Amino acid sequence: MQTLSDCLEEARTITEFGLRFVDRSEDAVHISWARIRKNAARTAGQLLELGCQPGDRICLVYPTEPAFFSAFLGAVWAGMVPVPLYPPVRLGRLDEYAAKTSRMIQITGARAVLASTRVRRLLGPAIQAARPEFGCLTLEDLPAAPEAPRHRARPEDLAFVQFSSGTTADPKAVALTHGAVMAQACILVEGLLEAWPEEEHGLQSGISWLPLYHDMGLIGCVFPALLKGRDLTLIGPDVFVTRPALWLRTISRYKCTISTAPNFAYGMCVHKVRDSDMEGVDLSSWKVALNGAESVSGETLGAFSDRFSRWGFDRMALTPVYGLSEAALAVTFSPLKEIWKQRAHPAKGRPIMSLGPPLPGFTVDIRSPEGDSLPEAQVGHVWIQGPSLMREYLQNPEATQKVLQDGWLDTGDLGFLQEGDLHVVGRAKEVLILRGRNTPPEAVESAVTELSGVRRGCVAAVCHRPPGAHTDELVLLVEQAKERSLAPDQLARDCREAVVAATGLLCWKVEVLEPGTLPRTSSGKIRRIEAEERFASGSLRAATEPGPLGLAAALVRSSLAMPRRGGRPTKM
Amino acid sequence: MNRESILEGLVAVAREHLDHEGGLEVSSPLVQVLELDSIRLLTLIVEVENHFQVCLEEGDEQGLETAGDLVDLIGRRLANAQ
Repeated sequence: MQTLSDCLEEARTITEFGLRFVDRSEDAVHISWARIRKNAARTAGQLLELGCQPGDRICLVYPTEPAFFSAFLGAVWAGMVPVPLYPPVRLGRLDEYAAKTSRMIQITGARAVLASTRVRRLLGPAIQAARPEFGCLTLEDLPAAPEAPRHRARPEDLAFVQFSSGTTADPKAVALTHGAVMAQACILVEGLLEAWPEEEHGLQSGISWLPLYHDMGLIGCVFPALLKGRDLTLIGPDVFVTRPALWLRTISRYKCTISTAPNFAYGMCVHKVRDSDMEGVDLSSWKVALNGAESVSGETLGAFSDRFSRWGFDRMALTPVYGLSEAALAVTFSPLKEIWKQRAHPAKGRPIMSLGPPLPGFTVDIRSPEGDSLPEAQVGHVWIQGPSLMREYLQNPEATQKVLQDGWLDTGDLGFLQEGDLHVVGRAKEVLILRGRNTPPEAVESAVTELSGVRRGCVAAVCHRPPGAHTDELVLLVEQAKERSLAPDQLARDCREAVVAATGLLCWKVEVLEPGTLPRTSSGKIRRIEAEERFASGSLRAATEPGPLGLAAALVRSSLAMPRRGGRPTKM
Repeated sequence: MNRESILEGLVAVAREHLDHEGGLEVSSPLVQVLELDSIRLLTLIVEVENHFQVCLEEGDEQGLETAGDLVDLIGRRLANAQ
C-alpha cells in the first residue's frame, strides 16, 4: 500500500473494527472502517460535484467527530489535499483566531473550507478575509452526488498539509506526501507489532484524545489504526482536559493497548484524577504509553507510575519518544518493554531523558552551528534524515531552504547522542547569542523566576536588536505576579540584579508585564521568539502599579511566610 | 437566580476547580484574576456549565472580560432555559 487511499480501499471489508467516539457522558458511537470508507467515497463525489478537482486544497475545521473523517478521507479519496485547521476555543479570542485562520487558508490556497455545523458560524470573518472560491460549507451543504471512484494518487503526490508551530504572521504549512505519510504509519505499526505480536498478545487497540489537527493525533493514532484495520477510540481534547480520568477509564473499558500523549497530560492525571474516579478501573491492558511532543520529565514518569500502578499500570509501558511534524511525526523511540532511562548532560550533569535510537530508516546527526558532525556526547544541532520528511513548507521557499538541506532536516532542537540514543536538551533558535557568547535563555530566566513579585515560570529572556544598534541586547520579559506586591520599577531592578549575579549578563531592558501577556505554544511553553517580536512592535501590555490592597496582602503574606501555591497544570 | 447567587456559584467553581483562593468582584478581570490559560479557561467553562446546568457556546465570549460579564451571560442562559 503506497497511499492513504490504498489504505482506505483495503478497509472496504472491515466491518468489525473502526473508530469509536466517546463523549463526556462516556457514551460511545462505533463506526466501522467499511462505513468510513463509504462515507468518504460519498463526500468525494460531492466535492467533485461542487467543482473541486484532484490536487485542490480543502481546509477542514472540525472538533473530534465523525464528520471530520468523512471530510478528511473524502478529500483524500478524490485526490484532493485536506488541511486540518484547529477549531476556535470556546470563549477564546475570536478576532485573533480569525486572523490566524484566514492566513492559514490563504497560504494553502484552499478552494473550499469544510466545517462542522457548530463551528461554521464563527468562521465568517476568517472566510471573508481569505475568500476561498467555494466559501465555507458543512457536509450537508454539499450538492448531492453518487459515490466517486477512487483517485489513483501517486506516492509523490501530496497527501495532506498540517500546520506546525509558527507565529500568527508566519504559520508554517508542512506539506506531506502519501509516500512520507505511509512510510511513517508503516514504521509505527511494524515497531508495535514486533514488540507485541498480536498472535501472542491479542489485537492492538488504540485510544487518543489528541486533537485531529495535530500530527500526533492524526498520523500517530489514526493512520496506524486505519493501516492495520484495528479499533481506535477517540475522546475530544476538551473532554480530556476537563476530565482526565475519562482517558484512563476508557482505556480500561475498551481494553486499549496503546495511547500517546505529551508529558503534561501524564502530570495532569497525577494531580487531577481522584481515587474515586478510578473505581473498577484496570489499566493492565495498556502496553504502550508513548510520551512525546514536548520535553519528557523523569519526575512525571515516576509520579505517574507510582500513582497508577495500583490500578494495574505497568511502568514499562511508558515510552519517551521524539518527533516533529516536519518528519511526519516520530523519529526516535525508546525501546518498548523497557524502563525509561536518563543520562547526564555532557556539560552540565543534569539528567536528560533518553528518547531512544532512530526508528528504522532514520538517521540522526548532531552538528555544530557550522554544519560539521559532532562526536558522541557533544551537544549540537539535531539534524535528521529519513523516509517521511516533509516535502516543503507551502508558499515559503525561504523557510524550507533553511531547514531542508541535501535531504537532511534541521529540527531546530539541540541535543546529543549517547550509545545510539538521542537526548534533546533545548531549542536551538532561542539560544541567546550576545557578543559572541551563547547562553540558553533558561539560564537567565531561572535567575528571576522565583523572585518575589514575579509570576512563577512566566519569564522570557530574548535577544533584541534595538533600533539603530549594531549588536543584539538582552531583554527580559517578566510577568508580574497577580498580587502586584511590588512596583514594576522595583521589580525590574530586582530582576536586573539577579540576572547579572547569576549569569554575568546585563539586561538592556527588563519589561514588567501583566500576568498572561506572554505568548505560549499549545503545550504551554513560552514562545520566546514571538514574545520578542511583540516586544519589538510594542504590543506587549506593560504592568500596572500595585494598588494599596495588593501591597497590604503582600505584607500579610510575607509576615505569615505562607507557602506558594504550586502544581498547576501546564497550558495546552 | 439573581446576580449575587450566580457570582457566589462562580466563586465556588473557581475555588473548587481552579484553586482560586480569593473572591471575585463583578469588576474582576477574569483572565488575570483567575489566571486563565487555555486549560484553565476550558475547565472554568465546563465546570460553569455543570454547576449552573447551562450551555455556553463558541462565540459567547464577545465582550466577555469581567466576572460580571460572565455572570450576566450565565443569567441569560438560565433565563433562556426556563
